[in-house]
Amino acid sequence: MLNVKPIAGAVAAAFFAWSALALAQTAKLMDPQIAHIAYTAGVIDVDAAKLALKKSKNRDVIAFAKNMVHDHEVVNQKALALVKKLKVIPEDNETSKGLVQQAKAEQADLTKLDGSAFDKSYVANEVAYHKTVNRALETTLIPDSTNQQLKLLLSTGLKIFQGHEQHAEHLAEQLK
Amino acid sequence: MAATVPGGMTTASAKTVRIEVADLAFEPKAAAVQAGDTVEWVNNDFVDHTAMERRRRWEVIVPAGHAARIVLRAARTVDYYCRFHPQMTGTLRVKAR
Repeated sequence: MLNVKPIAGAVAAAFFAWSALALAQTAKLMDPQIAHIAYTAGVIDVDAAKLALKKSKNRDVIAFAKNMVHDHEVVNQKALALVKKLKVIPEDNETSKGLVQQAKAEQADLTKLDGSAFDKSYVANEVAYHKTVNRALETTLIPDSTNQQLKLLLSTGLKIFQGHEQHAEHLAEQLK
Repeated sequence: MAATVPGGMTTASAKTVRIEVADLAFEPKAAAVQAGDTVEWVNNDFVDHTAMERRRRWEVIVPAGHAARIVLRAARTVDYYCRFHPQMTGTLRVKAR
């Protein structure tokens, strides 16, 4: 059961859209699926950031997006190196598919926006997205992972992404 | 290590205070510094960090695997954080030399 605090309109809408996916898969996840979900979540945020880099003219939004590209790409590089070392083949699953589907819908909406409307919507989505991913990491992906090195990488990733969530929240306040 | 100020006079023992950045935390979280000392952040994480003064008077970018530094001249307590990962916070207590 999600414990949802009251949050501003755009963030709330995005949060519910993403959160529905977090509940999509009820069976216990195995390491290959967890690796796939974590990697997919990173790719989604890199793609969103690259759209922001094309469309935004706001210096702080651009700086945030550049950091999203850098951080998520480097975490994904670490993840790829680890699964190769562990001889784990990431396995596609309903959660990953749902994330990708939702991301496509979100990208389609964002692409129609420009200027401050884009900036506000992008950042609101980033807050909601990171809240959802971080909650999934804390409550499911990290606890369900069995390999200690994968668990450690996911835990480090969580700290990084919690920072992203706060950075996005600060930015959302600035853009009001 | 002596530092030179305008006029050619040297000050006694201006030093470098090192702050390790690892596992998304500044260590030490609170550091004592004298005015004129250099503060050096050494980033052992694989992501970039920053040290931004709370009132945005200065910011030091510390790339992954690298170090960055600043000389603090004013005696005061400075709170700072990482702009990219704001849960990372630190304090520098700068005392007059």
